[in-house]
Order: sequence, then structure tokens, then C-alpha cells
Amino acid sequence: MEFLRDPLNGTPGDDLTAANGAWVRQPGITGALIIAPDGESVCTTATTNTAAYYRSDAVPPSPDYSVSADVTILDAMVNASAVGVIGRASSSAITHYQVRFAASVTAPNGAWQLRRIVNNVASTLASIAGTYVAGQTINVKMVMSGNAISLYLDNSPTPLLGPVNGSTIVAAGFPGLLGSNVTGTRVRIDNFVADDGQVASGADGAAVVTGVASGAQVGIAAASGTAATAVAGVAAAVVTGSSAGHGSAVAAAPAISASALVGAASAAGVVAAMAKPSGVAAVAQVGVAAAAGGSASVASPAGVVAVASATQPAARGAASAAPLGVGSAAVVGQAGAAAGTTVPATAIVGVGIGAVASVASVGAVAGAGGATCTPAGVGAATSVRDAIATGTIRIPATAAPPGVAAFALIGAAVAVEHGLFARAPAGAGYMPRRSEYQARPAQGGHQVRPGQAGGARPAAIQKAYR
Amino acid sequence: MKTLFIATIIGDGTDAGGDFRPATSDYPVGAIAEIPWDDAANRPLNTWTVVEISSGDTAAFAGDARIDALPVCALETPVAQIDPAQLAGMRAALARRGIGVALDSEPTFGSIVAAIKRRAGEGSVTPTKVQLTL
Repeated sequence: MEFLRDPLNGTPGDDLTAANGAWVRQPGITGALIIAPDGESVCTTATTNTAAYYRSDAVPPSPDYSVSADVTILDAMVNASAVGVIGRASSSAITHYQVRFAASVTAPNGAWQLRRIVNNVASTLASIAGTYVAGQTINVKMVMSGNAISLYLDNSPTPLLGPVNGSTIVAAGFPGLLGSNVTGTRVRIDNFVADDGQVASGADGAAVVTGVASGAQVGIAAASGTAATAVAGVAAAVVTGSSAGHGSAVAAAPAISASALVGAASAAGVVAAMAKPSGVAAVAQVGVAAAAGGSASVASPAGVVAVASATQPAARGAASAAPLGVGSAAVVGQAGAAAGTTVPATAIVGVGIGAVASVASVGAVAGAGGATCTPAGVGAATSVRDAIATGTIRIPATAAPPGVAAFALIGAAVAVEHGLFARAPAGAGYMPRRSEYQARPAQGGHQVRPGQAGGARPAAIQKAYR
Repeated sequence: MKTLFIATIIGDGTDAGGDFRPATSDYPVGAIAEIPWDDAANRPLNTWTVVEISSGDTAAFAGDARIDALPVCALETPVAQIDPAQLAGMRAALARRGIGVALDSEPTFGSIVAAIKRRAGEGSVTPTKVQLTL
């Protein structure tokens, strides 16, 4: 969940602190970051060999977060000039972690570096030689997770550097930017983002999926007991639900062969979600939830064939569901809402899912709170070929008492040939998935096999499968 | 397979080009090093660190007295199977730097490396966390 996003716009020439009062220099820093001539990014002044370390006043929810920005080097950087981002920055000392590109004597050569500054004493913890291409924009991200600090470029899934040991500075501090000895307009820093990487979701709501034909689909969100969504006419989909409360939610749906999936939920201070599909044939459903201020767990449905359960770390008011061990898992469903907002039951955004012949859709919540649901990476999803939804899938979500750091998993899924269905939880309110009734044979009309004792008249059979 | 070195920590900690860093930083290689910190002195606990080289040509390290190569082998390699010349080189480097690790009592190369890293984190002052005032 992003807790700070700044496009770094303003009046050209203004100091960043003037353009946006949320920014301050770290103590003792004299170098400056100013709004660039384009008015839509920042650059440094021509102050020689003076570092400019700026931090935001946005308070991260925990020490575990990422800081990123788009960096464009327009012209040859002079030796020892640098540009990058900082994190866990102190408000009282020049103390922080930083990642940066530092130029060497010969342009365009230099090195990506991961550094630690403690009371203005610097250490390079990791470095790797690199070059830049004038005019090319690079997204630079530092991820801080516990004692692990890593540098990522251009949203690569693997770090360019790290993780290195980040146990020296453990407080959350603040996110920020850096520039050093970069003459005037030679660099641009844009689109600053600080993100705790977590998800949060809502409770007390309900999602309703109707009219699903031979497919599975979609748990959707509810925030503050309001939102409800519906998706109709989904054919042969594998999907996911996600929900939003304070922030965003991400639910990873396993691309289970012929299965469906997933509700995810949680919100700050609220923990659990319940999902109870009913009247669904050959559809699997899982509830997922996470806790505030702690870790979250994701539970895959018990008894689901080819689905591995997963535990997923999630910090502070966040939920994240990422089933592991699934051959071709796809991330699905993403929602976000500003803290404290309510997500009404409004829009649904259908999203095509690749590799699903009949197309699928994913429900999304969008409302006043800004919650959105943007499934991604569903390319590998497979269809729920044999999944047949008869009638309505109802996926209500309810909140467990706050402070319960756990998850809720409702509904044990069972594999049925190529499909999965969710077993409804115990309790009233759920229609049997299937009922069987076999009349008691007439007296004397039954057969007795050779060697079999008996001859008693069997009783009638009546079973209701949940 | 990790390529590991013990390198002298150079620099004086000044932000403008004087970072404390392993001597391998003078070469165009990809390197990761832990530099255990002495909070009281606000400087590294030791004068050396273990460096993992992830990319680049390490041949240039040869002849640089600030950089000692550790054996090139898998971490699970039993000590008895480490190349004798490389083992001797490591033994000499540890002795020269005063790093007290009993090589012969360690079962594998990995346990030797772990022991060296433990020593890197042991200084006159126990490392503590830096608590920031927000």
C-alpha cells in the first residue's frame, strides 16, 4: 500500500521543500533539490560535491517498505555525482540507507551502490558496475524488509544488489530522495513512491456473483460493511476476489487446473474474512485474511488437489495472498482504497484473462475510497472447464474480532475430477450442493448375493452434500 | 558457487567519496559485503570483511595485498577436500589478519566461512541497533 506518492511537480527553481512542505532536508545537509525546468520533476543544483538528502514527513507504517523513483540522466554526470533514493531516514541525524547511481571519472560509467549512512559516516555495503544511457529513465527502488535491504531496477523481480544486512538502522524513519554533485539539469527525479508493500482489505461486506456459467469467479471486496459486487456471465474463468478497506488488497490466485479461487480480506485492526460459497457446483473458494500489525497467513483450501497452502508475510494492516507451490500461479485482483474510506458497491471492471478461451472476468471494486481491482498476470490462468455454477455464488465476508492475527479459512475445497468445489461451512444458511435420495426398496424385492448373509431390507438413503 | 574474498575495509567514512568499503570496490566488480558496525565509535568493527563477488573479473585482485581469496568451492565441501593450496592460502590470510578460526575443527568450507563472518561481527564493542529519534 502506497503511503506516499509525489510526482515532484512545482514551480521550476523552487526548492523541493518549498514546492511541497512535506519534504525536509536531513539535518546538516546543504545540498539542494529543486524543481526542474520542466516543472514536473526535481533536479539538483550545481553545488559542488554536496549531498542533498531530503526526506518526506510521511510516516511509514513499519520499517519494512520500499522507496522508488524514476531517474533520468540527461547528460554526462561528473565524477562522484550521484542520484537515488533513501529510506529509514532519521529526522535528527544524517542516518539512512540509500541506493544510488554514482558516476565515475569516465562517463557513462559508474556504479550502482547500496549504502548506509550513520551519523554522516558512510559505508558502501554493495556495489556493482553500471552505465547509463543519456535520456533513459530508470526506476530505482530500494526495498527494506527486516534486516534485508535490496536495490531493484525497473521493477525487476530480482534485485540488482542485495539483500545486504540492514540491521544497523532498524527504525522506520522516513523515505526520501538524494542527489549529489549533479550539475543542474543533468538528472531528473520523478514519480516518487513509498510503499509498505502490503495489502489491506475490508470486512463486513459481501460479494455476489451471479449467472456464472461453467466457470468460477470472483470474490470481491467489501469495505466497512458496504461494498458488494456482482459479476455475471462469466464463463470458464479462474479467478479471485480481493477486497479493500484501508488500502489495497492483493490476492494471488493459483492457476489451478480447473479450479477457481479466492477471497482475500483484511483490514487494519480487522482480521478475518469468511467466504462461503453456496449453491455452487465444482467451484472452489477460499477465504484469506490477514492481520493488522502482524503477519498474515494464507490458507489454501483443505483438500484441494494441486493447491499448496501458503503462508504469506504481511505486515501491519495488510493482507496478501499468494498461494505457493502452484505451477502457474497468477496474481489476481488488486484493490485499494484510502484509509478510512468506504468502498461502495459500484463498479466492476471486467478484465480479460489470457489463455482462457471463453474469456473471463474479474470483479473489481471501485468506489469513493478509490478502491480498484486490477487483476494482473492472469495469463496463466486456466479455465474451470468442468466447473459448473448453478445459480449464484455468494461470498459474504465478515470480520473476525480485531487483533486476531490469523486468517479465516472457510470452505474446504474438494477436487471433483477437473473441477473443485467448496464445501460450505457448518451452520445454517447454506443450501446443499447436492442431495441424494434413494427410496427404500420394497419388502422382499431386494437381492441377496451368493455367500452374503442377510436379506434384511435396506433403509432409504438421503444425503445432502454441502 | 560463491566467490568469496576477505578484503580490507578502506575509506574514512566521509560521504563525499570516502565511504567505508571493501578494497574490492576499487575494481569494476559486483560485490556485497557486510560491514559490522561499532555504534560507539561510529565506524566498522573490524578492518576487514568478507566480500561476495557476484560479477566481474576477479583476476585483477591478484597481487593486491588488501584482498585475499578464499577457496573456490561449494560451501558444503568438506575441509579435507578443499584444494590444499587454496586451503593453505586461506590459512595464511587468516593468520596474517589475526582472524582466529580453527580451520581444522570445522567440517566444511561453509562452516569456515560462517566462522569468519562471526568473527567479523565480533569487536571490542558489541554491535547494537541504531535507534532513531523520529
